[in-house]
Amino acid sequence: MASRWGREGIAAPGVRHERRLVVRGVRKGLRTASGEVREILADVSFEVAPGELVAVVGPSGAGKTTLLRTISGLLAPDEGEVRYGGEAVDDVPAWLSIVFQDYSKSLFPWMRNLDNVALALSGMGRHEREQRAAGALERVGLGAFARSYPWELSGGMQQRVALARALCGEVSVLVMDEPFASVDALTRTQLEDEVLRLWGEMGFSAILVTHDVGEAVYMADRVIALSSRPARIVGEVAIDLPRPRDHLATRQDPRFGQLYGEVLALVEGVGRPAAGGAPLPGPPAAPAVPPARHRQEEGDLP
Amino acid sequence: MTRRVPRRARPWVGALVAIGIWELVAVTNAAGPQFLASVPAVARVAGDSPGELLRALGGTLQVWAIALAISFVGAVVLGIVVASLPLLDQLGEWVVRSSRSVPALALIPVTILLFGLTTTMEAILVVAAAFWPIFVNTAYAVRRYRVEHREKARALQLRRWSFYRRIVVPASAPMIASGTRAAIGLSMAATIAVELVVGYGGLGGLVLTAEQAGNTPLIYAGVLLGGLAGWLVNRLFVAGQQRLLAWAYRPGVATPLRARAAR
Repeated sequence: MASRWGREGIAAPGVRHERRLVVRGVRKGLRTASGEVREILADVSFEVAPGELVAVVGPSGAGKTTLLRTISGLLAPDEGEVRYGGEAVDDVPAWLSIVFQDYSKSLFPWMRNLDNVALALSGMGRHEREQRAAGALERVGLGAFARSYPWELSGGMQQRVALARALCGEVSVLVMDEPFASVDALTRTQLEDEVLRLWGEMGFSAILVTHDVGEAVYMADRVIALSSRPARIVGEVAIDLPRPRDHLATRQDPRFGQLYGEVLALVEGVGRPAAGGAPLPGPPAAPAVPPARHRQEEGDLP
Repeated sequence: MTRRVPRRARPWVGALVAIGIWELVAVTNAAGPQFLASVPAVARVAGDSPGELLRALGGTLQVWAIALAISFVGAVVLGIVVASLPLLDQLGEWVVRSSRSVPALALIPVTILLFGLTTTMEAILVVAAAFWPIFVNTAYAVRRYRVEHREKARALQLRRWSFYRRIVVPASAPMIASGTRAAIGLSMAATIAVELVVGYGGLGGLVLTAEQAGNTPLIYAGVLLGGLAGWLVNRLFVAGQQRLLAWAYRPGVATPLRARAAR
């Protein structure tokens, strides 16, 4: 977290920004269609420091989404607790925002983008609400599309509207459920950088749930790996890559490959990397784009 | 033929052919002069007494519009309430299913017994005809969307009132509109049928009087005018629907259909 942008933020940097999110001993079972209760989360505990970006990775079907819904207060844990500072998290507190995977379902087609964003704001006059919503759209580069409908925009733009909505209130914790899974690869890299930029500017804590190990390593301060169901934490990897990160430079950094391998090993249950042991078979460290020098400048474009 | 007649002109050609067949049957007396008026005779009647026809149409449309408005408000409000209260919904399940299967016109004798040949009786029948399609569609949509959007609403910390006003009702609007469209046709038919039974007022009254007076051309003029009016109202409604609910007709989305069953 060395070089973060300054905190100007729509969200006034408040007391809440200084709190830790604590997930302690959370267990959760869900009833299946046939009526039996299946254990999804088995004793999950971790913490998120103020302003930290934590990625949660795990095999598909591991219960990542259930964990996220429990952290957000959409589901009550069967055992254990989720606390923010001293406060128990229940029923989606105002300082927590969620970005869902499927933007086409999270935005409402009968509302203009501005109204979709403004929906997240309450307790103020209509004028102020619209002003702040317009500001949030501006912030994600969609100021010109406030009067359009979501379905008039591309998938990546729609997810940015969803992001603007998540960030227009006074957000201290942003929770993202595979937020880039429904867009094409190029849009995805742009959105990743967009989120990193906003996170840098606004200073909220963030939890990113993803099944993409590369994305987790690229974005996070720390990656937590879940086992397959019932999910428990099999390990975590601190990501000491420098910031600001850049799709070309960061992903070409040999350290990126190493960290990728460590996380992948945890997720695949290959076992924890033996202390000082042989490097695990790493992923292709090179990015999908050709390493042409002129592309370097585009790294942090919104 | 297919090449020479432009696509847009073909319905006109079809209509002209139909009128031609009608005229042919009338002129050859195939149906008997009392039963089928010739096209010129109908046109003459319409030209002679446009005031009478339009007044009759106005009467029908007035009763129909008022009853439809009452039905619409009642059915939408009740549909939302019932679909939002599972206990009420379950209690009413069979009542709704059996009630909505009863054709409104089958209630004519009962309503006459209860209210006599009065305006109240007319209104109740037309309201009954329009109510069910709107109610069933509203309830179906609200049941579905209040569940589908519940989690998002919680994530956005919406209060119940905002949830319904901003999410559930707009989401249900296309289906409510489809139900209303079905109700328009049913209630128009019910209005004219009730006028025929009561024997005065509106197009039904006009047609009945014309029949008793042996004025066959006027009967046909009245019937045709009713058909024309129904078609126009439908066109207007569809145009309004596509304008106000443009989001539901956006490219790539299946047109919302009327619910086939209550659930």
